[in-house]
Amino acid sequence: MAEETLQGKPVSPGIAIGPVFLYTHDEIDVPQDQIQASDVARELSVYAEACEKVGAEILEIIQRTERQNEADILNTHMLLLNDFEIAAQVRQGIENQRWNAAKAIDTAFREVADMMSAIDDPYLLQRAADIHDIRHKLLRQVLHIPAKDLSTASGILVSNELYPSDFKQFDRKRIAGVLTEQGESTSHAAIMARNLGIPVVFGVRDVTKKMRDGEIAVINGSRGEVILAPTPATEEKCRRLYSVYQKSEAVKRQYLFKNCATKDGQPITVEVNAGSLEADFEKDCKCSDGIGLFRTEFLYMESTALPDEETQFRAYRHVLQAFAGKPVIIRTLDIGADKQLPYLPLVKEENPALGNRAIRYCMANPELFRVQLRALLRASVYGNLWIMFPMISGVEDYHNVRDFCDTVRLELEACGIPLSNSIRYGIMIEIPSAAVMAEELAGIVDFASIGTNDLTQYTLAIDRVGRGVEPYYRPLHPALARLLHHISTAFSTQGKPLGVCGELAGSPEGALLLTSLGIRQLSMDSSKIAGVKYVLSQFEAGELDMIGAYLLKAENEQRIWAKLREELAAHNVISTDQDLQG
Amino acid sequence: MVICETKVINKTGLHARPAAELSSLAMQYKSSITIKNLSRNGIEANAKSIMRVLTLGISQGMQVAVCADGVDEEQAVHQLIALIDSGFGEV
Repeated sequence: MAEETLQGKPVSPGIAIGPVFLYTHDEIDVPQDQIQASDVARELSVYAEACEKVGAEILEIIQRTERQNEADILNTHMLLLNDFEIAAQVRQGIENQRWNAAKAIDTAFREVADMMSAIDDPYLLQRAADIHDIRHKLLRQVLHIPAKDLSTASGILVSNELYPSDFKQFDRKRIAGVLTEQGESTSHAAIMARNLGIPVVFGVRDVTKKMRDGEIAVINGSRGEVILAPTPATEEKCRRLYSVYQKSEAVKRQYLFKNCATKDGQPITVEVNAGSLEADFEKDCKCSDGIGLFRTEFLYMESTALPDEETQFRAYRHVLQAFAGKPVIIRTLDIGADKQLPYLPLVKEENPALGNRAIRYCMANPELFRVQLRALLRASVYGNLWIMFPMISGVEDYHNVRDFCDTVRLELEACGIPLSNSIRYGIMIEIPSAAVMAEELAGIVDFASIGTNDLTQYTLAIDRVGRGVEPYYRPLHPALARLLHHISTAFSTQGKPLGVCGELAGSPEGALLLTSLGIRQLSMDSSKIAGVKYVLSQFEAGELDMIGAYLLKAENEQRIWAKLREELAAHNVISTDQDLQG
Repeated sequence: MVICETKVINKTGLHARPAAELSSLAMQYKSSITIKNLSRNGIEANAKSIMRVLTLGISQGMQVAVCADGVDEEQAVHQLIALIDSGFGEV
């Protein structure tokens, strides 16, 4: 069999290699025979007994779990198992239709699952999987079908579909990775899977048909990839990657909750990027210095109508309170023709990246903008609020939004609503004109954050999603390094905080580049924090300056990459992200 | 009979855990309690059945009505609305 690479959905990162353990949920054969009137009582008690046993089974798992999110899921299962409406349907099947207990259970639970799948709601579609989980458990009890024993499973667990409770049936020390054909990253199963901290990939079509027990497979949870029948060379490469990955994960873990500093103790601010209320803010707050970018688009995109002031206020208050006085930079709505809202169609534009987006759209729709600003200002008394405006091209853009913001503030004050006096106002620097005007902007704003993704796109005139032009997207282009240095000098001269919240800040090379250019505040996805803290702790401030001076003279991107890689290697930084991400 | 309307503010709507909390609370009352999804043609369900509550497909931002009929109807509607307005700890 030739080596084959299959693509699925990445659910939990990391790499694993090992023998396959196949575990399939075969559809249970349900007997169709009718029962006699005299058997009704017996079948009812068969059902009652099965409920009791399954209930005890779920309870036992609840007591074993240490995680609240898992207990919540299992408690929901318990309620569904004992739901009197479903129970009434099962009993009716036995009493009126004269079905045997198994058929009555199967029919009732399938009907509920179908009803949930029929409603146009992605969350409910996932709840149908919970119903099937319980249906299978009940049927196994009634029909005396022993569950395939997962407690001895080891290696890479491969299944057509794993139900939430399956994740509590195996020994996680023996399982290196999990792979399934079905499943969504929003499912309860995905939550359980991520809790395991091992690589997990869902949605690999027909994978159970392509694999046999004991065969070696590689699973890359970072890329959502699986390699079947790896050649000896691939296997060797993956084993090496695996061991390096394990080592670097262990090293990084030690740095997660430490303060970020250079080797000689110069502090560096590390913040998290967030864009929903689902994140683990308690942990994020402990391992960071605040939120460097809170995207507000989710409030608008995951809703069926424009979110009102109250909904927004509660969301902002929640995140401000969660960060207990640490700075929380909230970016005002950054929406445009490339990110459409279902209830608010924007005019299609030839070139949305250069069009009516972010503050341009907000200033053109003052009613919509006013609602967001009112909610933000009202929430300001609950924490340390920094408001950031995206797509500012220069001094006049900033003056215009600030004037509008001040009008809204006066309105609220006139109504006697308490507001914080220490709100800070700042800008995203993502348009090259703003980068060029950094000195003037630094003079009037309280802070700024560089959006490297857009700044790269606009500076290099390269579409981030453009097909065929990928080679021209060069995030480490020397022109960008020089622009970053220019901005950094302007802000440090004025003593104003300057951060970077683009993807660049979260990679080892990017963090090294940015700090070398004098930037001392980096914001990233929380999964990147430990790695960046570790990398920066290996360099002295003086070394960073020397690297920066070299980079500013580089004439092409290759030189910059080479220098950064060379410095990382010289400081014993083991980086696998690049290899894993490919 | 007591009826009260409110808007669902928590992020995940009445799915899974919040639905479980709602039906668990409803079960503590003697009154018969229904919940209506006013944003989906007013479809209604027995609030004491988590399965029925789930199938109303109540998402964030939707308007719902809680209606109770029985000896403790006041208390039931008051507490259930308070639970929905609390955002189930998600907001």
